[in-house]
Amino acid sequence: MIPKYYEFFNPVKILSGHKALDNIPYELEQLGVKKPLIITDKGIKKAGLLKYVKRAFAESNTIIGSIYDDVPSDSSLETVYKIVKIFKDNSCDSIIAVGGGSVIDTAKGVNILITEDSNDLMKFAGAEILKNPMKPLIVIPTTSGTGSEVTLVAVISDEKNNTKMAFTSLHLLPRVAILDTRMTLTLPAHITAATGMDALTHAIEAYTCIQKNPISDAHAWMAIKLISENLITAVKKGKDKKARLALLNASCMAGAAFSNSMVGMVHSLGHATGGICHIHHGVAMSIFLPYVLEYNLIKIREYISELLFPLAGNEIYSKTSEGQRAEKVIECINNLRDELYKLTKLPRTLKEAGISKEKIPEIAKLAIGDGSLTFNPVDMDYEDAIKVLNKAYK
Amino acid sequence: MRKNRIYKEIKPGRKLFKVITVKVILFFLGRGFQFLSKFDKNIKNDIHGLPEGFTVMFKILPIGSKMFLKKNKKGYLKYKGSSLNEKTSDLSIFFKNIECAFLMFTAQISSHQAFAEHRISIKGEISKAMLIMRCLNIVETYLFPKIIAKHITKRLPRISGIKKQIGRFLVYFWGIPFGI
Repeated sequence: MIPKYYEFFNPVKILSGHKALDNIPYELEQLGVKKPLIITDKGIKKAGLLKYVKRAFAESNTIIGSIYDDVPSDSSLETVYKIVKIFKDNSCDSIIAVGGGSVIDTAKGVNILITEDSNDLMKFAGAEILKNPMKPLIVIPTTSGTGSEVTLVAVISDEKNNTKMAFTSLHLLPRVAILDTRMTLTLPAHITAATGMDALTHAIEAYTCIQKNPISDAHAWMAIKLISENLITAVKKGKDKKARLALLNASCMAGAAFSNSMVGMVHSLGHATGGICHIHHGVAMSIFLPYVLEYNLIKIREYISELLFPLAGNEIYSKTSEGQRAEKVIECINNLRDELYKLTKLPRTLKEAGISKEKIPEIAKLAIGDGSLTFNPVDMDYEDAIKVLNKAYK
Repeated sequence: MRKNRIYKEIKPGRKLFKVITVKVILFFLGRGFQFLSKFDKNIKNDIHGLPEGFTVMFKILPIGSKMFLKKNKKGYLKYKGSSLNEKTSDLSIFFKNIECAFLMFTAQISSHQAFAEHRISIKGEISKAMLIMRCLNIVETYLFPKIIAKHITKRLPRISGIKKQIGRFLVYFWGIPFGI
């Protein structure tokens, strides 16, 4: 079904392949820049992944302006200000973000301040407020989950005021995303599992939330297919290049899908749980996904049913009667979670994640104020949130 | 011989009917918000966490009407018309054009649909914008008949029938006319 009105925007050039990083100098030249600042975190440096990026510059005349490798696990305001100073002191003209969601969000925050020539990031918080085109940003993801390399969102923590500020603008979209398998080959199994479930949630919510549209559906559909076919392989055999590349592509496509059709209640509950109990975002997504699908069944049974095809394949789809397909989708997701639990102990319930039951009212209160709830097909008030959280606790 | 054609500037037209309609509805909504922020438990709970002096602006871009609501000392939202300075608002909710404001304020599309379709942009904390939108849904439930309210909310807020009727009576005959 085509919505009466929708918008889809994704101008990011995507390079995908085993040694895709080698094209960095060419891409920088195409963008008309010569001195990028690299932003990354300690984990990436420790895992030795930066050497691939640095090697890509060999035999070119492009200078790396500097490398900032101390981004914390939650992108923070203070870090953004520090990096802006380095960017200016070193006369850089572009940014390369190497990392997961936190590094990429930090890079987007830095880009806002440099472009707007301001020293107060909070002035630009909000949706679709930024007006000016930004400095070229190249993103090299090192996990297959967030999809931030193709999203127009950044979330930055204001530690002093204990809040998280969201920024959404089409200008935040990177110019190039480079999906190079070498960057995820060493990702531990449990992170692969959690980030894979994060990408799966992006794709499923993009396909089932209120701003779904034919273009985001196509991205989400293929992302679900690639994840269901490759996640277990990548968890079992981390060095499997084919599976890794498939997951990088899936995460990227899921990102493009949800950046346009947005995410829903799984994210509302996940953001709230993450904010209060500090659990990994992917773990939270994995816990809530089946319960939210159950909750949404009443309104979007048809859309959930359609997902059985990419999730379970032709044979199971055709063997399952039309009226049972939605329940089968939830069963497949539960089976996937069980298998990931066996392989990596990825929690399936709040209890398994070590969350105290007393936290549930606090999580519920925060979840109903989360922006992503707007896009969920079914509304959720405090009582509903408590019910779903209790189910997810078990 | 034909005269040389003159290429004149074309000034933008006006949509007076829609502009006036939106202005009137903004007045009703503003006064309604003010009264119901004292009357309805759900709105009171929602705005409880906002700091005193918190100001919300609704504005129709690029040059359209605007309306301000400000949380006062007594803890409710005071309708301030268009009297405040834009720079003083803590949260600004912008409608990208008069058409989308008209669609939303005449209950042809819901606030969540307008947001999902990128018809609205927000300056400030998105979570606070969600809170205001949630309250707006409740205000609309009082102001509009059930058949319309059902169309513009995903699910009608849990308000008892009697309470809704009393609230509706009071908001139309007390809150809106007298700015209580």
